[in-house]
Amino acid sequence: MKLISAKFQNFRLLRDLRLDFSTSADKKLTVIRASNESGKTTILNALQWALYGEDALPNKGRGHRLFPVDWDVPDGRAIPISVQVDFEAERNQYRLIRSVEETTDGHKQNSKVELFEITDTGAVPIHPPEAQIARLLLPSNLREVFFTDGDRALNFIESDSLIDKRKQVENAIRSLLELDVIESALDHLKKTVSRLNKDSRNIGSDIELTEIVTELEKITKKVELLENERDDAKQQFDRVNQSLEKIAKDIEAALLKGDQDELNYKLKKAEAELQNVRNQEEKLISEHSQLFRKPPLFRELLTPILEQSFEKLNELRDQGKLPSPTIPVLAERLTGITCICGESLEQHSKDGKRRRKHIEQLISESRQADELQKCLTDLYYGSLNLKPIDITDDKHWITDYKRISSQLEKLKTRREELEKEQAALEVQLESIGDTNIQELRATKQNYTAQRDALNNTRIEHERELERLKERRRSLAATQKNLMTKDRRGKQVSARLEATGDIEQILKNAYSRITDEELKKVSQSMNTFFLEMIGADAEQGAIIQKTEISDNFDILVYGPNDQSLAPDVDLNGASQRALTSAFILALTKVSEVNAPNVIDTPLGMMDGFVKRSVLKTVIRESSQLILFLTRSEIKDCEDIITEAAGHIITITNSAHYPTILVNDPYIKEPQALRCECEDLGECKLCKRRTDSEVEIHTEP
Amino acid sequence: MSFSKDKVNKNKMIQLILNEYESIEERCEGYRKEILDAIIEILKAEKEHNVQRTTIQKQVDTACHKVGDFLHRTHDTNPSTTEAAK
Repeated sequence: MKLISAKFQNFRLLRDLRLDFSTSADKKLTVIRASNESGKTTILNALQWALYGEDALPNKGRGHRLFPVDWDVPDGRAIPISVQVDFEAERNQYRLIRSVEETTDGHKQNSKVELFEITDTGAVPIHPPEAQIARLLLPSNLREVFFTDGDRALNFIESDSLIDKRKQVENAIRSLLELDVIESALDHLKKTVSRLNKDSRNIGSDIELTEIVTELEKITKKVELLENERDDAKQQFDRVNQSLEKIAKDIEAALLKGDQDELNYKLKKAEAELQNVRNQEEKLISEHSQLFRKPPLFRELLTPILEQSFEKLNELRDQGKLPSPTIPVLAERLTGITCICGESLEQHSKDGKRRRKHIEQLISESRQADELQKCLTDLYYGSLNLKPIDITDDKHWITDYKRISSQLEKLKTRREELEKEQAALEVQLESIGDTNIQELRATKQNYTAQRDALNNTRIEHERELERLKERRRSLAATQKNLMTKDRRGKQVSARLEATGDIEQILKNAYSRITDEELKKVSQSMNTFFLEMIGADAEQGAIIQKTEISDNFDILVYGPNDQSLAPDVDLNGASQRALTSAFILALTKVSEVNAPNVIDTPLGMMDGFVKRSVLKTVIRESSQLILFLTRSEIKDCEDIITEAAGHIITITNSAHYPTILVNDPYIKEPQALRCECEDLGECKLCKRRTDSEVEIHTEP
Repeated sequence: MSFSKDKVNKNKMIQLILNEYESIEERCEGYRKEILDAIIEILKAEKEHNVQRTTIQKQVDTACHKVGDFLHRTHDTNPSTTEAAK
C-alpha cells in the first residue's frame, strides 16, 4: 500500500490543504517541512482519522474537536469536515473519503466513509466500503507502528511499567507478524473439529463409534489442558531460566567487584593499620621537633665558634682571671679575724681596723674595675653545658635526625599506600552497593530448584501428551475405519482429515513465526540500531548489542554483556534511534508493504546520529513520509534533497508577524502550503531570523 | 475459489504457509492446492472478522468442509487415484 495524496477540509488548522506524496521507488521520501504549531501532528491525526476512523484519534476521539477552533458559526449549525486520501493497493488506485459534520458544541453527525476505485473511466464507488477498506489498508492494530511520532514511539522502551513496555512490544510484533490471526483461526478450527466429531455420533447406530467419539472428545480436551499447562510451565521455565542467567551474571559481576564481607574485612584492616601508622608518624614528628630544641643541636651547630670561645675562656681561667677570685677571697677574709698574710683583722684594734678598711677599699675598687671580667665569668659558667664534648657517631644529633627523618619518610610512604588502598576499597564497596553475594547465591539456589521443578513438570506433561496423542491417533484410525462403512461417515471422516491438515499447517506456521521470525526482528533491530548510533562492538563501543527477549523486552547490552536500561542508560537521541530501529526491523521482517509516516523522528538528535538515522530509515522504508522541523532538517539537507520526491512546506498564517516576515493576508489561522518545492524559502514561508524574532517579541 | 498469487496479498504469513503446506500428504490429486485455498480463505475471513463482525465460524467450517468434500468425492469416484497420490 502507498499513499498518493491527501486533501483536508476544515480539519482543525487544515482548512483547505492538499498534499502529494512521492510514490517513486527511487525517490521514496516525502518531507513535510513545518515549524512547531504549523499542523504536523494535525496532518498525522487527520490521515489516521481518514483511514481508520474515530478510534485513531487521541483518546479515541472522545472530546477531540475536529473543526477549526476559531470557527464562528451560529449555534446549532454544523461544520463540514472531510479528509480524502488517494492510495495504491494491490496495483489499483483507490480514493477514500471520510466526512463528518460537527457543531461547535462538539456534536458529530452524518459521519460517512466512501471508497472508490479510480479507473480509466473515473471513480467507481465500492459498496459496502468497510470490508474492502479493511482488506486494502493496513490492519488497524498496525496503525501505531506505521503512523507514529518520535515521542509516542518511545513508549516501546520508556513506559513506567515493565509490563506495559512488554505489552506494547508484544502487540506490535504479534500484529505485524499476524500471530493473532493464526491464533484465532486455530481456535475456530478446533471448533470445526469438535462439530465434526459431534456429527459422527449420529452416523449409523454403532455404539463403538459413539464411545470412540466420546473418548476422543475427552482426550482432545485433556490434550488442550495439558498443552496449556505445558506451555505455561515452559514460559515459567524460560522466565526462571532468564532470572537464573541474570543472577549468575550478577554474582559474577559482584565477584569481579569483590566480596562485600571480604572487602569490609580488608577495609577495617587497612583502617587499623593506617591509624597505627598515623600514631607512629605523630610520635616521630614530635620527636623530630624535639631534636631542634635540645642542646646537642646547638652544641653541634656552634661547635667551631664555641671551641674558640672556650679556648679563650679556659685561657683566662688558667690565668686565674676566671672566675674573678679577688672579691670573694677578700670578702671571705672580712668574715674572719686574720688576713691572708697572717696579720690581725681584729675590729677592736687600730691596725685591724685599718687593714679591714683597706680590704673593703680593695673590694670596692675591684667591683668597679672588673665589669668585663664579671661578664666573662658569667659566660664561662653559664655556657659550661654547651662546652663541646667528644661524642660517638651513634649519639650524634645528626644521626638522630637522619634516623627520625628516614622513619618518617617510610611512614609517610606507607600511610599514602594505605590511604590509597582504603579509598580503592571504599570505591569497590560503594560500587557493590547493597549487593550481598550470599543472598544472591541463596536466590540462585531457589531459582535453580524452581527451574528444575518446572522442567520436570514439562517433561511429565510431554510424556503424557505423547501417550494421549498416540491414543488419539489410534482412536481416530478406528473411528475412520468404522465411519467408512457408511457414505455419510466417509464424508465426515474426509472433512475431519482435511481440517486436521489445515490445523497442522497453521500450527507449524505459528511455531516458525514465534521461533524464527522473532529472532529475525531482534537481529535486524540490532543491525539498524548499531548502524544508526555508529557503535562498533569491535572498537569497544559502550553499546555493544541490543535484542528482543522471549518475553518481548527490548534489551541493550554494554561491554562484558552488562545490561543497560534503554530508558535510563541511553541518551535521548539513542532512545529515539532504538525505537526507529525496532519499527524498521518489524516492518522489514513482516514484509508488510506500507508507508512509514513519522512526525518529528529526528528530535533531540544532531550530527552523526541524526544523519545516520535518516539514511537508515530512508533505505529501509518502502514509502517514507516525514514531518520535520527546520532544526531537524539542518545538516541533513543533502540527504533529503537526494532522497525526496516531494518536499512540501507548511506555514501557519497565524505566525505573522511574530515569526513570518510577510503578511499572508489570511484572516483565519490556517496551515498554508507554499510553492516551495525544495528546502529554500518563498515570500509566504520566509521567516525572521531567531534574533529578529527575539527582538520582535520583546515587550 | 482457486489460489492465485496475484489476488493474494503475499505477506509473510502466506509465504510461511506456502513453505509448510508441501509437508502435508497429497491425499488425492489436487488435494494440497485445495488445502491452500481453504487456508487463504480462512485467513482472509479472520482478518475481515477483526474489522467487522462476520459469521466467522461458519466460514471456517465451510472452507474445511469444502476440502473434505473434495477429498471424499475424489476418493469415491476414483479410489485408485487417492491411493496413487499417497
